Amino acid sequence: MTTERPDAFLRSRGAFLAEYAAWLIGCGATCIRVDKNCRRMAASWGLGVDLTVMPAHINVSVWGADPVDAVVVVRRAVACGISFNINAKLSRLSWEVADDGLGFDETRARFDDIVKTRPTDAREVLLLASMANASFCRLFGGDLAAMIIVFVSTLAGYRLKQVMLRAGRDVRITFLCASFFSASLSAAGYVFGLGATPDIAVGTSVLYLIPGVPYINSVSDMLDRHYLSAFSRLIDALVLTVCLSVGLCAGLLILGLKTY
Amino acid sequence: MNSTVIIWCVIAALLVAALLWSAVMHHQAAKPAGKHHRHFVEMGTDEDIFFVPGDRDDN
Repeated sequence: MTTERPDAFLRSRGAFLAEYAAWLIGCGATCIRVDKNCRRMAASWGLGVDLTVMPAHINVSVWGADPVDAVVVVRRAVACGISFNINAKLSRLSWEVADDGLGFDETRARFDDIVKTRPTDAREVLLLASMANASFCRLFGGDLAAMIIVFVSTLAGYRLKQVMLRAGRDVRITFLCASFFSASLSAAGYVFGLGATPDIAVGTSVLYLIPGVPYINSVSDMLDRHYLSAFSRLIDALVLTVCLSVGLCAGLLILGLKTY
Repeated sequence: MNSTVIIWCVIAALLVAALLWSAVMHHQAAKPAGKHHRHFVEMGTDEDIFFVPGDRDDN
């Protein structure tokens, strides 16, 4: 570390912190989490840091003893999808730097390993999401028939979502199609007279599409006065919610259900 | 049969067809690149079937 020139030292740390923040934002962390983690690591390296979190970019300014010689690095937020696994590992890395005095090269190596973390198996997610949605149905008072209907309709709709996203389709069209098919399939209770709570089956069949993480993060960012990021996340979540509502309504209209 | 039942069956069939189609396409794409790609149904010309000496053999 001592052999590095001062500007190279600052540039390498600044670039690392910007990349770290870009990954953290991309995998679904709130602005306050990104800010705290980066400050923690920068402090352990004897550096000052300021971050500007924009909806799609991270702007990191790092300085050493003299704030006049600050290095500014801009990185685009990584579109890796929400991953609590990467989020937790990156946060742990910042603590290892702060508490255990992890060296920069070792930190960089561990970071490179963390970002290679493979996402959870698609079939496992599909099965667990379907079971979770069926459980929601039960929580809202659905009977066994409604739970089975919700499980099957979620399984089909979620699989369609996975297939469309893998094929690079627009996320809004994907949400609309998934909610349309899930809502239509879940109307089996009405169509075939299955169970005593077909309304709950239809109502809970599209819950898996609700963008919960962006909603929660937008509130968190708002509380921390990161209004731009909060507003951006809120609009993203609202657009997806409108898409899933349109799909739900289209399914009910086409099937001619006038229950709602 | 009730029209609602027919519409529901059509929607379900569409979804199943779409998922099966994507599975087949995914399976095709996963095959090794050098392997000969065989179509289940193909459109051809009469020269493909009846070759008369003197026909151009460049298609």
